[in-house]
Amino acid sequence: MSARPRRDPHAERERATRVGPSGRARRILGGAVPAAPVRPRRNPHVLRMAAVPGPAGRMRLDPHGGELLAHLPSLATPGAEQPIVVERPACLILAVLDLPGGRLEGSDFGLLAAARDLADRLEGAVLALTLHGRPDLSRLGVDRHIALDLPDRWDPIARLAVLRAVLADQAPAHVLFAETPLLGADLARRLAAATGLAAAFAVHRLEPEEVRARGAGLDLVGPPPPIMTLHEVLLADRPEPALREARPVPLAVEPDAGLVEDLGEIPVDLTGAPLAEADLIVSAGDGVTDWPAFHTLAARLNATVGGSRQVCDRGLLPRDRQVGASGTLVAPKAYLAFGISGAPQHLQGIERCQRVVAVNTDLHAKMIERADLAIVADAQAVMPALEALLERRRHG
Amino acid sequence: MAEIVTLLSAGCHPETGRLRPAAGDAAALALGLALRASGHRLIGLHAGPADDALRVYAGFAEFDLVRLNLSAQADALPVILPWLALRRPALVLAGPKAELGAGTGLLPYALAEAMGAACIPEVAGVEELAERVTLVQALPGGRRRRLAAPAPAVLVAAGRLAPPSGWAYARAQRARLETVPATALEPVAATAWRNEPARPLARPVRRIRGGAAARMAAATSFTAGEGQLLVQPAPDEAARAILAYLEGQGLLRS
Amino acid sequence: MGSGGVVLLILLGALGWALIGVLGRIAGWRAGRPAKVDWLAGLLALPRRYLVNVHEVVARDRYASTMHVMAAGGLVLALLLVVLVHGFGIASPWLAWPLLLACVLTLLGAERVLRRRADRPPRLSGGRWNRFGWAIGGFALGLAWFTLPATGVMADPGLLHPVSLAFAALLAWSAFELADGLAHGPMRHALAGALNLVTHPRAPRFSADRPVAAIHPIDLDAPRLGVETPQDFAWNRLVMADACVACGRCEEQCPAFAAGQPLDPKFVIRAISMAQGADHVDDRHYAGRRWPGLERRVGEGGAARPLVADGGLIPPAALWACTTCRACVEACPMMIEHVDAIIDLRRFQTLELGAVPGKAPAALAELAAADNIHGRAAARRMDAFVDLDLPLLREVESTDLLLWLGDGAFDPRGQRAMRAFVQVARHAGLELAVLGEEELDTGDLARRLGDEAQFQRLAEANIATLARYRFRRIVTTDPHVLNSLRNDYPAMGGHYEVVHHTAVLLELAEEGRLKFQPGEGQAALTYHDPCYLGRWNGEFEAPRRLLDLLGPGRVEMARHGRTARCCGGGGGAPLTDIPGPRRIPDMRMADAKATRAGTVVVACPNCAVMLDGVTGDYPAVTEVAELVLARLAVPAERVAA
Ligand SMILES: Cc1cc2nc3c(=O)[nH]c(=O)nc-3n(C[C@H](O)[C@H](O)[C@H](O)COP(=O)(O)OP(=O)(O)OC[C@H]3O[C@@H](n4cnc5c(N)ncnc54)[C@H](O)[C@@H]3O)c2cc1C
Ligand code: SF4
Ligand code: SF4
Repeated sequence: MSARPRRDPHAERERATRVGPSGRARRILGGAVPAAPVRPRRNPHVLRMAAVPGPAGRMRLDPHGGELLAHLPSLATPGAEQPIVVERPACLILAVLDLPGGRLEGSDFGLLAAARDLADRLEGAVLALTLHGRPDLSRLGVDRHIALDLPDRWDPIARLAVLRAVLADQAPAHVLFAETPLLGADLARRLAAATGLAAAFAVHRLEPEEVRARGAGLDLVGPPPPIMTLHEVLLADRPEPALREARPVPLAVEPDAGLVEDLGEIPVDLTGAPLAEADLIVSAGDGVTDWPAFHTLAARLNATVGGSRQVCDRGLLPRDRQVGASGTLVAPKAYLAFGISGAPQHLQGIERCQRVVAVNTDLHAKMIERADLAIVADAQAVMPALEALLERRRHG
Repeated sequence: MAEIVTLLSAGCHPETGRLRPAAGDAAALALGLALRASGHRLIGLHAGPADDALRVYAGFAEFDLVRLNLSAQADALPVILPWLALRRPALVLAGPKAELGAGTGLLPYALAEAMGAACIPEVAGVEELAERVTLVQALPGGRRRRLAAPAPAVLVAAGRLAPPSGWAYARAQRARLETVPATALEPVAATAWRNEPARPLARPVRRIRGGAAARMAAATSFTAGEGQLLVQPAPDEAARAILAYLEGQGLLRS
Repeated sequence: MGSGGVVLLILLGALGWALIGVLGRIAGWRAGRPAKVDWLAGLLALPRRYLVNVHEVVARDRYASTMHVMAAGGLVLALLLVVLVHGFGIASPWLAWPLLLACVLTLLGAERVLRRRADRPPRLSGGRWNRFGWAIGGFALGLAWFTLPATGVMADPGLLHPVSLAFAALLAWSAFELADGLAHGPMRHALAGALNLVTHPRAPRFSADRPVAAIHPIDLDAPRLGVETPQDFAWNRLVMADACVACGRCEEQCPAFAAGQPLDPKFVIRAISMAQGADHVDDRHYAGRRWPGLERRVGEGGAARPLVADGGLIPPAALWACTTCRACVEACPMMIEHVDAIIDLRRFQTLELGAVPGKAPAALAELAAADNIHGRAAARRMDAFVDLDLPLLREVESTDLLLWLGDGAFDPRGQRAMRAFVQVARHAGLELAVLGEEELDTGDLARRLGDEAQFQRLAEANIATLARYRFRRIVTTDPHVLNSLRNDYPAMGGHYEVVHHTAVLLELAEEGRLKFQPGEGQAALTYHDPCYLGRWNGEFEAPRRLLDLLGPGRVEMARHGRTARCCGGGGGAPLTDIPGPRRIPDMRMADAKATRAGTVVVACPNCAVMLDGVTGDYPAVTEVAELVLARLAVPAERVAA
């Protein structure tokens, strides 16, 4: 990356500022301003490579070269930290976590952040309910934690039974869900239908006095009801990492077998699935020449196949595989781009991808710039290597 | 062969506010039409004041259409329930959310609760319908799951499902709609909710407690992996990096 | 009995045979829907239509034209004389010699037919057409033999003479081949072709200099909308299909056929003709080229069976691959209207079956709820032009020039051209007003996709809006809008003077209100004719004259003007998106590249999008107005924004 000189407006302004007789700072306009020193442009990749491990073991990026982290006492000396305890909460805010696939996901963090915020403003405590595993929620703003381990089946009736038991046991003031299909959204509506409690769905403004729920082209406004699901705009947040006790709360419940029987996931070949639905896409551009390797890799990952317009135009992939402005706008969790230059029309199509992995021989390709994991290498070498690795992993 | 009722509400174009088939209800209708093709009887049910809302669906296929005559403000559930109780359909199909009014998506759940039936959301297809219904549920990312439930059941179509193909003007024009008078119950009590024009969706300003250092930390910390760059790594190294990355995202399925 | 008598016998027999066949064929035509036909005017116009309009097209192929004059002229002359010579037995050399000469002329023509058949270009059908030359030749030869005695060059050898017997057999075979062909074979083109010229449903195309290419509206309350079976066509359209000579000139011009999409305009017409003549037929004996990519397909149909179906004579994909570019119509020597037939067939598919493929149903659904296929609120049509302060007709109430934005206003590429035009017009002191959010889609796309209901709804709404205001002319950058307002709206009650922006720009330039600076060292440019400006509206000259005013260096693509190749963007084809091994815009850009021009100039927002979307090493694509703006003799940034 070039070190193109960049003007530093802050430095310029500082230099042009003089303290006047009255002691007030005033700006000198025009006149002889000393030449601004040139601040080199930062290379974000270099910066990101300087990431240091944070206290939770996760990598943290510190653009200040480590100074900042050193100045954060709570982060710098985790051992000495005492958890925050809410002993006598005015009320309980129950957050029902999704944990899709047993993992904490973005929506869970967002839900906990919102619950924490509401609890703080009501001087209450956050009670989290998880139905799978026993994730550590102590740095996620949780005061109490009910952790159950329900079978992996999709059994909404059993979940509803648990939820009703929690309500009977703990009498939370508000129950919060994420508006996620099959998870929070489903359970919240079941609860509302079963208990007749007032509910607001897809809440996008949450204040202790008033909530705004998104209806069909309008907002429903009123005081916070007992049951709420949160719109995704409220779910982008994360709770502060302050340590809280996340005290385990026991729950005795005997969930009865529901009406719905989960017969298991159907193996679907996702390589040809609709691009708009896909959550993992491997995409090929003009830089891909070894097509068998590309397709084997896609099949091995069971990822949906996509491509740039260039390859679709040349008939190397069918037209419905085209990603981009004139193809499909995609929003997968991860987008693997092999040999794609990243033309504006293509980048337009992947605007809503959560993570982008790019393999390209050109360091200056726009795709490399856009990528979260950028690999400057020959796609023809990386694709079989990845395939072989997956194969080895599968056999133990 | 069984009888299936699909609930059809008045759709509303998001930009112009004009009447159209509601996308979710059209998806449910697609499920119903597939079942009709295998010999079941399909009835489209709409509760509302005007035929137009129902007629837009008639263009998709020739099937029975019933309208419960009801004012636009009245709650549909209290009139749909007794009608369903009389007909006792094996399946009730619905869309995930109405395009007019509150659009909470609660109606199918309330309906199922009142019928003592199972309510299943995100349905992408129905495989078998007899004493039990076997169906396919859409999971995120295009994956699918098979479920079974006793009939009668309330199925909510996956919103992303395509509407039925084959909307034809002539069918919609020539369709004969049956109108059933219905007495709406007075709303029990005015709720504390009021309708307001939709405000733009905006991320809330984050309230960060704990002083400037915490604010700074919050503003500058990212999870690593964002913006990692490997220049000319060995293919194997590159592969391992990608694999670790996907694994971290829980995206490895094999 | 004299050997000449046998001629009479054979001819009477053949005539009888022909009559039976033709009556059957006529019964088939009469099974079609009624049509309003002005017989007298048609009959009076016949000679002109034949000698001027047909000849103009036939003459494009010199060889075929000479061949036809000789074979057909000779045959007609011979048949007239034969009535006198052999019918009334007037054995005068004054008649016999001309008859002999007519036979020789026919023979020479037949020789040309056979010569071409020997090395048959693939666009020509084989099968019975291969025998046609032999039949004409045989007929002429046989006739000549039996005419010789009447000329007096030889004595009548008598019928029982072996040579006479041989010639009698030849004459009998060829006469019956031709007579049978009058209803079921190649000769049908003469009968149906002449009748088609008399009863042609688009009479204006023969009279005016500019073809008024309106598409006929239908009654939306009819029990069946559009055409399902051959019998749903108006009867004169059935006659029209029977006029086809299977010459394949349409096929040769068709961009979809060239792209390998399963469309062949000739096969469409032949399929209609084939189906109407029988209760049940299949296309195994069809002797032309087959649908590209579907070579092994066998289609079935009949006079009362669906034409378009998966197993029908016409595959649905053929219907939807058509860009309605009218290149086929322009090329057809028999004045056949392929596009009308395709639209009629589409109407049934769309309005009755809802069987529109690809993204078209979604686009039509948006059109129904938002009055534009992008599903945008009406107010957003002006989004890209707010800074231009275009006066709204609602506020000014009258204007000289009404600018119709069209749906290009929702597309960045279209917006660029429109902005350029507004800027240039302002620079020349021209005042424009717009309808703004009162403007709806013209319904043009809906009509071409067969959705006549939406077209009529939108046309009525737009006509009602326009009726409230006063304006002299409507100007638009979109030839599809132009064609719709100019040609399709009159039948709905809207009569306007509509001009294309290239015409307005030319007016301004010729009045000296625009001054250009010569582009420095500019590469040559080539002009791509939009189908809806060129073939549909006959405007080929204005854009070219305008470009020539900008500077020298305009070159023409091999296919330009009336034979220009479509960009692939018309008729809703980008929405129905029928796959093929090649893409039409790529082929058009290859045409442009072959001229070595640096720039392709387009005059239509659809062409701009289609050609701009072609990737690779090709000439740049510029819209006329953009080019004019860039060449104004004032710095572009000084042009009033
Ligand atoms: C109107 C319009 C609409 C368009 N819409 C779209 C759209 O929707 N979607 C779309 O994708 N495009 C679209 N385009 C085309 C777009 O502008 C680009 O042309 C296209 O995206 C480029 O495709 P590409 O990246 O595969 O090819 P290229 O630009 O040729 O890039 C190939 C890349 O591969 C890299 N490479 C080469 N060899 C290797 C190797 N061995 N290993 C790894 N990398 C290698 C190269 O460094 C290069 O970066 C549109 C264009 C227009 C005009
Ligand atoms: S209008 Fe154009 S695309 Fe359609 S059949 Fe004729 S030549 Fe082919
Ligand atoms: S339709 Fe016209 S151009 Fe086409 S083959 Fe027939 S006669 Fe020739």
